[in-house]
Amino acid sequence: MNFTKGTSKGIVLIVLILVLMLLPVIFPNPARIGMFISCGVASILAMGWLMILRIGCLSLGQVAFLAIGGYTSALLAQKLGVSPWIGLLGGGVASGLVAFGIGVVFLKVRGLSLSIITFAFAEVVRLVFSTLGFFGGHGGILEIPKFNPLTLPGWGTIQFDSPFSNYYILLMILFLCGIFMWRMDHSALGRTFKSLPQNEDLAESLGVYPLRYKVINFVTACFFAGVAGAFTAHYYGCLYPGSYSVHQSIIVQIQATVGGASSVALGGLLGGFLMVMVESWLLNVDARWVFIFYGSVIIVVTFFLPDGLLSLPQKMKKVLNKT
Amino acid sequence: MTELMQTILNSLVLSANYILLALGLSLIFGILRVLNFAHGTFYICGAYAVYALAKMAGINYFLATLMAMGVVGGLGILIEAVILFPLAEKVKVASLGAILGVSMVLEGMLSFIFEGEDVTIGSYFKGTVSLMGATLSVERIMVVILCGIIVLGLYLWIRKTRQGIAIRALAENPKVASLQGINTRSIRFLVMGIASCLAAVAGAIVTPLFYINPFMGGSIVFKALLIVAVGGMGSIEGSILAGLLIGFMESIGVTYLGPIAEVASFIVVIAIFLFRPRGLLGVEYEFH
Amino acid sequence: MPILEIKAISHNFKGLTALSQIDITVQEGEILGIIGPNGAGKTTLFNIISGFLRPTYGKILFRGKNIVGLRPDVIARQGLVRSFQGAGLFPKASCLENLIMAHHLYKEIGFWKTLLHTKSYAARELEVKDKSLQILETLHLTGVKDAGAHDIPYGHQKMLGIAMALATDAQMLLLDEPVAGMNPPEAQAMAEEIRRIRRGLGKTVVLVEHNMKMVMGVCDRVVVIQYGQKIAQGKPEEIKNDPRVIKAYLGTAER
Repeated sequence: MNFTKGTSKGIVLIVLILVLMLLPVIFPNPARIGMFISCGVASILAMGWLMILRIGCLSLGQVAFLAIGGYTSALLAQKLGVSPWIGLLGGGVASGLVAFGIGVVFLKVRGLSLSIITFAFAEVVRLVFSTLGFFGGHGGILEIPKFNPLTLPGWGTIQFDSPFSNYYILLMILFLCGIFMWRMDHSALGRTFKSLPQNEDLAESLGVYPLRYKVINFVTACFFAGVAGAFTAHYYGCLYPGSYSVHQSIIVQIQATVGGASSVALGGLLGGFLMVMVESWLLNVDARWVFIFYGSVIIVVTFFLPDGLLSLPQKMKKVLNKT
Repeated sequence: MTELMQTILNSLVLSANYILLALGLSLIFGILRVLNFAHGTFYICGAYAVYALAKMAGINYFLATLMAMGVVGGLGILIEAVILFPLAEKVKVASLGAILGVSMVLEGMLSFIFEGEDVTIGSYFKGTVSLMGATLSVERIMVVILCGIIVLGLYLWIRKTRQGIAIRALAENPKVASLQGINTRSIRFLVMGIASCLAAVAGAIVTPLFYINPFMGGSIVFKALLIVAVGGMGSIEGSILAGLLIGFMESIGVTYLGPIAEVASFIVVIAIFLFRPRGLLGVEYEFH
Repeated sequence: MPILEIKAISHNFKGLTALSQIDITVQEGEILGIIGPNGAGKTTLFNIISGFLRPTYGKILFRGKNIVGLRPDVIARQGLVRSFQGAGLFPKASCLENLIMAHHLYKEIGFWKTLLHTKSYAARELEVKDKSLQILETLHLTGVKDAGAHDIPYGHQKMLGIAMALATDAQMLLLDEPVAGMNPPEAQAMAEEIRRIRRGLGKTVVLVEHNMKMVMGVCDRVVVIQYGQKIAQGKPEEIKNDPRVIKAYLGTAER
């Protein structure tokens, strides 16, 4: 029984990876690929959100770390001439450090208070980036360098001036993020994470130092958000503080919730891709539908599928068993 | 002198705004146990309703305000009936998500109906008055007086009337209150209706004075939350005092410190929710 | 050889004195019972010993080392573990998962080894799972290993809670009302289990209880606390007949 389950899961995973790698080949339209890139970024954020949910925190400020990563990498490139490739890491590290700094303080709080704090923090970050001249103020940062060409043996020199090539950079980040988080979730570490919102006192009495684990969890999620942020800075070539609004953080929550909390990696992937694809289609129809769409989706999901799309097979089984 | 008086008046207007919103938020949390993140959007809906009725349909401003109260109050009750009550027993993260969804849907709908730029309906009470050697806008004075009357009315109502007492009982101990025969369902409707009306009034007050756009709701609800946090959830006096305090600080801060003052209010929110021992909101929401 | 020495522990809380000058010495390998009327401060004492509460005054030496001020997880790591009132389980996990979780302190593995799923990590996971299954078998819970922790009968839940405390390999266990809410046969089984813990595993047990019959039957010594003060200590027979104890308990004891 376990063996077949494992193999079928393995096959699904391989198919998934192949599909993701072949998307730009199947759909070569640059605008489409651009959409896939947005899907990927959203997925990374959604995975992070779900990861943080594991420790019982509903984060309303994920985009703050997207911003920190983006600004760090952009400024490193513009002011210090750092290669965007290094900038990816720089953005992640910066986000991680900030996450660590606030995590050790914030994560002592729980529940609604913590969510409110994440919300407030995101606004602080946005305001700081949009008011201080050093960060370019309201206008943001423009003319951020793209990724330097890479010379790979056997492949020649690859330019990164089109969505096609950039997609694969994002895919690498997405895979790394997905695998890392999947591993974390399905390990003793993930077990410990999940134990905390259930009975933190019990976990403590069993030798768990809750703050340490919460911080590890939080920093990981924010690190990847930072890397994704750095990527977007170089891919789009510009940054606007206004795009890191609370609405965007809420959208992350909605995407992640739709995907499903049962699997951090898969839920994030599913939610990110699906929601962004619908959103892109709506943007072509009429941009004003987007908010109504997201709002309605979360309401419907809350009532009918609170555990997201990933819980659909289980729910169907239950329904079918009843009939 | 004029500058001082005007600053005071502006602060009072801001405070009045915040107090009305904070009271509504506090009421909703106390009875429905939900932090109404959509409260700011109710406020904006009220403002737009007044705008649509007064500016576009040419209805008298006061009448428009009353109608707007009806509209937003009805909206609040609808949301309570369709969304909040059914989710009341479920995990708190559910109602949080749903409320955020409601907020987004409303904002989307507003941007559909009132596309384009920010709007305002322009001053209703034209003219200025001379007070203690300073020139002050009549409009703003009227706003402050009206708000004062409303808040006083609410305060007396909560303290003295049967419904007011029922509300306080329900906020304190829902199980016992319902055993005492207090109709939880109708109180919930009542509270939601009142809170929404308060938000609508605040919105109505604001449209002649400022520009509005559909997406302002988020930061507004945060200010209201700040006030409730500082003043104490469920305390009318607290909300009033905190509202005055924050209103004044913000007015002075923005005038003399510039945009960075906004950051201060968020930092204060963080500080309060970090250091209050059991979390201000008493009932800790756990998200599983 | 005293394993735990509680010296002059006092705790004030918002003007009330919860505990006053508590002096208790626990010998290694003994079963000590702490009894007293409700509100006497017994659970406060437990919270203080296990590190969940910091006393206003006093020292607690665990194997000679002062543990006051240490975090609960650090104290657990030193070898002192408590169980909780109610069953103290992870409600959303299965019985098996609960037990696996309890092995957190058992052969701790570092962060990177965990992430990379090294051989030593994998081996430990397997070992922990086997141990947990074994424990479930001794508790006759193999059938419900995948059942939600709160779906099994209350008596079994409490057993599971104790088993989890045991899984930490701690030398000393603090059991908070281990038989509360159990019917007589379940209480008997629990009492037997506690004796086995001491006899077979050599552990020291301190328990707080209201069930007098169980306390008198299981404990080597008993300490009585009333209004935050220790009013008597000694062997069960001595305590039973102590006039001060009887007075404290007039009408409230379960016999």
